[in-house]
Amino acid sequence: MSIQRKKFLSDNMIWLVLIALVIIMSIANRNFATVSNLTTLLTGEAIKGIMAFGVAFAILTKGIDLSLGAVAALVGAVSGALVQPTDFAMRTLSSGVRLPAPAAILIGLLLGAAIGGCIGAIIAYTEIPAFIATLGAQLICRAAAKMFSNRPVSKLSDDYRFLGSGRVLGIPMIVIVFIIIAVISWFILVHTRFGKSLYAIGANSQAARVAGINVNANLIKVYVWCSLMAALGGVLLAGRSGSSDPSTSGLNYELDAIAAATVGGTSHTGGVCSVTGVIAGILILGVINNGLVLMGVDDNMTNILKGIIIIGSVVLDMRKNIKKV
Amino acid sequence: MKKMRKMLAGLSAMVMVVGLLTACGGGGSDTDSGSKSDGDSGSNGGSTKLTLIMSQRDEWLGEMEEAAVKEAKEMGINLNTVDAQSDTSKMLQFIESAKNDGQKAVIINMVDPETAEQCVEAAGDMYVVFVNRYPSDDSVLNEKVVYVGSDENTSGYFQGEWLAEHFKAEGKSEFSYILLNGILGQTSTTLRTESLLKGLEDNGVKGVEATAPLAAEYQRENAQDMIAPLLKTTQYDAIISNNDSMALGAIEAMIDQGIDPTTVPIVGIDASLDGRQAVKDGTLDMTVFQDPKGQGRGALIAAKNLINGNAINDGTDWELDETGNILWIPFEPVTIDNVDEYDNR
Repeated sequence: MSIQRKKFLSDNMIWLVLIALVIIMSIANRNFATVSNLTTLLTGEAIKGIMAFGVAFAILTKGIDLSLGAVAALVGAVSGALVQPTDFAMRTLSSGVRLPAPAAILIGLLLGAAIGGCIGAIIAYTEIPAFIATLGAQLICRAAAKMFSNRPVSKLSDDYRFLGSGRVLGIPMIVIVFIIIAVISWFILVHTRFGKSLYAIGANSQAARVAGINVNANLIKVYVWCSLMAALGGVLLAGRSGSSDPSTSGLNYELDAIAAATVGGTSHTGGVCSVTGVIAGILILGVINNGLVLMGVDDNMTNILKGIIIIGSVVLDMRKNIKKV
Repeated sequence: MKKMRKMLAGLSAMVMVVGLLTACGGGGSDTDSGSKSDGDSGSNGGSTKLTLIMSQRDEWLGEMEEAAVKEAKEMGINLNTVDAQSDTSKMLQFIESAKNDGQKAVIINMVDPETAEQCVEAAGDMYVVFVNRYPSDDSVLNEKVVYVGSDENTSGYFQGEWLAEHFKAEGKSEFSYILLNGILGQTSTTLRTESLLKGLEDNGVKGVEATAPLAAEYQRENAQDMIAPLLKTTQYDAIISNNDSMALGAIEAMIDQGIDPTTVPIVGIDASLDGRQAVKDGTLDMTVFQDPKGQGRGALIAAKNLINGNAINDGTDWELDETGNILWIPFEPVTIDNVDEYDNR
């Protein structure tokens, strides 16, 4: 009970920070708390948010994923190239047909899953730190994306772009996708054996192994999930802007995703993660990004503030965890 | 309960830091929000608020941004500049934020010129001024969406002309060169290289590329590393670079290997501070001045003219293209003869 209560409390702490920020921003600029601006805010953070759900799983098992942005760039370029008009002079693939969007997106997601499988297998079987494995994967995927196309993959079909830039009942699809992913993440973590195993592995992987959990198989699944979220992010990024530039698409998104998961209380010492926390983490960083721009605050100041919040949240998190022992 | 109190103390400390930072960060915007309320009722009253979105901040773009900020001050425009850090999604978000803030125009230095259409879409009713990076699909340009920049079809052309003259004077009609490209696939790289070749061809000199295509991504270190192994193994009569930084990298590599850079014609583009110094030193033979201050000022002037319903070059000497939706800030060739003129521009 007491752990549950503490967890409940810490979740609410994050929301308190968020509410305080929203109040500050609303007072500072009356154009902040408008429907159109909040839609802008959510649209802008959704992709990083989806990636944050991915990397949160890795962090939960004491891992990390630095390849998210690069995987997004590779998947964005590959799946985008499949939906370019065949008569387009600058088409990335000189031959081939224009696939229907669902097929191209599916291929993109499968590519992401395959990359994740490789990363996961390397981490599980060689036992090298996830930091190193995914740093390597980042370089490889970014280079592969640039080799695949040395210019932005553009003129993407409208049906492909629907997920990234369409709207349903006035709500951007990108936000709807984010909500769906949040629900799926919550379901996996709370209601599946896989999710519960992750908490066990994160808390103590030796104990988990002894308790009969197949740690290696679960680790592979974690990185498949991570890369799948990165791949989805890549599809959304390409869809949002109508063009996927392999050299800049998704650049440093992994860092924002890690920051959001961290601010959201996902503990880098493993075993602690909640979906609501991650959502709050994303919203806090989003409110800062958006609100300070509206206030005309220098970007450098914005980044300093974000840095302080990231460090501060981990300091709080560590104190919390020490007390638990 | 003690734990709870401690945690709450930590939390409130964090909120205070946030409050403090936003308060001091917004120091300048205190007066803005004050004047904004007048601005909203009558934006022509001199306190117009505009946003300039930078794709990133390098030396050249930094100069452009600075000129825009200075011009805004003189015009009495409250200019908010933001850095999209090469992230298209962030750029679109900044555009939407400006729209949500009720601003009348937005100045965009695009991350990816392919996304012009999305920028216009995100801008809604705002006037859009694209600066420095030309939209890949220029059908987006109209009386509400304009471009301010330099015509890349002329930048490389100046290099070509100069090289043609140089080799003709030596009695050669053919020469081989090492070409340092910027970022392959980027419009500026493509046009700089294309116009260079056209400049050579139009002036009756044939250039032969001595190596496989090199792309050093506009970076000095990349160019230096890339060209170093080629210098003593390749036959070349000239080094041509899509910008000054890469040309300087090549010069650096030559000096490292004991080759005198003044023995080979080397040409760049930008006339950056370091580039101009190299021209004075005689190591860089020629460069092309792309006017950052002109583009920064021009973008602001165009935005103001749009809001006031004037032609976008109103009050300047700059020329428009035939549609009236493009404001050209001219490129200018720079050599040892005129380099001093550019020191105070």
